[in-house]
Amino acid sequence: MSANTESNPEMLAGVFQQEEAPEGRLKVSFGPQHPGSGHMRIILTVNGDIVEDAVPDVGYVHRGVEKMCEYKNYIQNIPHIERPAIHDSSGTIFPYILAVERLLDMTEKVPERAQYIRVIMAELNRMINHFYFFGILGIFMGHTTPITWGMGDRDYLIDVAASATGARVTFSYFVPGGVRTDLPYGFEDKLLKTCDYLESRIPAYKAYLEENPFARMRLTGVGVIKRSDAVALGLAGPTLRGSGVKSDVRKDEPYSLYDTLEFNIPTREEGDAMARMMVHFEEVKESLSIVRQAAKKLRPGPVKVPLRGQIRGKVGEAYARTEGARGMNSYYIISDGQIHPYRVRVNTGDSRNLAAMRPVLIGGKVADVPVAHWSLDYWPVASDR
Amino acid sequence: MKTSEFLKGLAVSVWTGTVHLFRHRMTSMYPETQNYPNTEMYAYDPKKGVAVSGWRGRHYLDMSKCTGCQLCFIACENIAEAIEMIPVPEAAHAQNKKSIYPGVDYGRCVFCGFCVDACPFYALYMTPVAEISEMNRNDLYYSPVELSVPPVPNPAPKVHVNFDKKRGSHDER
Amino acid sequence: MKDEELLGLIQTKLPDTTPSIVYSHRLKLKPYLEKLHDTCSTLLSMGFDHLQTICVTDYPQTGEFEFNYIIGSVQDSLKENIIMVVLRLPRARPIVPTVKDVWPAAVQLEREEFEMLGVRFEGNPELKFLYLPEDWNEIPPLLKDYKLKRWVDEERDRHDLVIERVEHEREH
Repeated sequence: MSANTESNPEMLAGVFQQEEAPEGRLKVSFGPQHPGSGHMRIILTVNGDIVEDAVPDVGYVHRGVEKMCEYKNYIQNIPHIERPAIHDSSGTIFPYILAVERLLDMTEKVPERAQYIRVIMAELNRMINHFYFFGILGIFMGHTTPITWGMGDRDYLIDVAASATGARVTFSYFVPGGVRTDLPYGFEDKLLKTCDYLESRIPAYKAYLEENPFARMRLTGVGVIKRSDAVALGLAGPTLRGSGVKSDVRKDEPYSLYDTLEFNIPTREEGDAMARMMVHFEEVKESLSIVRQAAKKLRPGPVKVPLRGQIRGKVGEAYARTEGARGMNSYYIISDGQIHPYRVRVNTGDSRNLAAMRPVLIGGKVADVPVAHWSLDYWPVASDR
Repeated sequence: MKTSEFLKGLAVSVWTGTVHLFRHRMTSMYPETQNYPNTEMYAYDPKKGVAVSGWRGRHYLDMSKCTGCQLCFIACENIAEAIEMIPVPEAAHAQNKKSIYPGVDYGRCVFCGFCVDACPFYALYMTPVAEISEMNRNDLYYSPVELSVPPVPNPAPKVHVNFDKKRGSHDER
Repeated sequence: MKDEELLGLIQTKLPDTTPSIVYSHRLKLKPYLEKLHDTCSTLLSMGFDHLQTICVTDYPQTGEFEFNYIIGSVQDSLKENIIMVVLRLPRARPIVPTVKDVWPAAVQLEREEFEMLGVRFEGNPELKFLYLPEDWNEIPPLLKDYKLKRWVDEERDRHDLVIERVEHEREH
């Protein structure tokens, strides 16, 4: 065994020691038991009401997905990969499936109907995530109504998705070659009715989160990220678009027939929590329009190219990326021709947005920490993987 | 922010909240009513290679079709390790020479349904019953004989989810 | 930008990196270790400003580590293109210069690869554990020497208890 494979205790010394707070400052641990922080901790050094330093301490829910993937075959990886991102299970599994299809040389063979079904599921998941986002953002502002609305409206979307996939949260619906089941009888009808219902709910959210003067006061000017910083830190998804960068994989490198659908990429220039909230808000409207267009384009036909026996990827590599709800998800898979992948590099939008946590929180007020933290679209479980 | 803008925004949001008082409630009264968006069984058609959409709950094992080929066990091996092949000597079926059948530990099962997709003999299904609770962790283990009994019908009234433009999806009472 | 067009552009700007097309929109460069930093700076000046991931892979058979920097762009003309900068280094001395001054996003990605594979990035000030527990005293987990199977076997042994219980019930 070479020298680098042995752990070096000196490396660890001094890293996790609990330092005393400097004179006149206080150290505050935000989480891991804080209801809003999720499974992570931010060590705040505060001077009065001002945050002087904020060190995110993550890894409480690290499961080693990348290592596990090397021990499971391509199908067995599906339930494991999508489990961390419970609000965006389709978005998380999507790039993995695209990468595996590339390794199997069947990118072109996926039936058209399956591709539109994938689009519908991915957009439903995007809306599920965004309604959850509104709910939690509301409660972080001390505004308890949005969480009841957000969770309630999210459930209607879950009902639609569950009627096709058979599970409420972790759908395990996409497989290499297509989707697992065809849509049940009457699915389009349910889908369009639910879209109409959500369309009618949008003014209520607009009144509560955009026009409400108290929400605006709490969100405007909090957690500002400049455009240049957002690109340099490698942020992704609504956080990047909230800083004025027009970057969306659905348009940049269209996959799964997204290029046949018409939609806009909402962006905001301000780069604060309000801008990021508005990007989410506009994205829900766009998603509703995408779902309606995709439902119109559904034609009867096969939904899957059946794969018999064990799947073996060809020797090579594949890098696939898609736009998940909380940012660009990408998978880099190296295959050596076995039934297991040789190496899988999982890269979620959440883990990229973590890089912005520290610069965003420093200089803000303690009361703004939950809002700024949540508006970054960072979900600890998907980030830790 | 101007005072007029402030007051207008305040009025709009308070009015929206007040109107919401008179809407239909979103909550369904569990367990008196239970939502199942899909009441079919999840099944797999090995000839077509495509599954039939349905709710992925507790398994149902057709012992007269199971050949004991262990494909469901292999499918589960690296996912949840929930399926074990159990010898059931008293259940004598001609197609199952070794008399081994799958038993599922629901303390481990993640309800992904890939075991159903692996079965080439139409022997394994997933039923819409997902509420499995026991006082003892080991009682979550369902032996093949228990799995081959169709799930107990729900004591709750039969409720179908209705999708509506105005109310979203709700249970029909 | 079209793949061939970009390939030609890179061949003129970075002649000694042997660029090649992996498949559509995926270009691979293989610079020398000494030229890594210059290559990255040139790519940044060409418009590749969004570092998407760093993937280090362990190849114990050949005794090598493969470093793969996957770089995208948010510029309008380069949005669909992905550049992979690939390096192969001996397993005994996996030390590369950091690229954090080119892309600040590299700080966190390099930190992840450091803890998972034990590779070093010279000049990165934050090489400490991010996801692993602080009392982790085994070898870096993503090395191929680190075997996972034994934990699975332990789990199986625990599972046997349950099966015994079922057989016990059947006797009644």
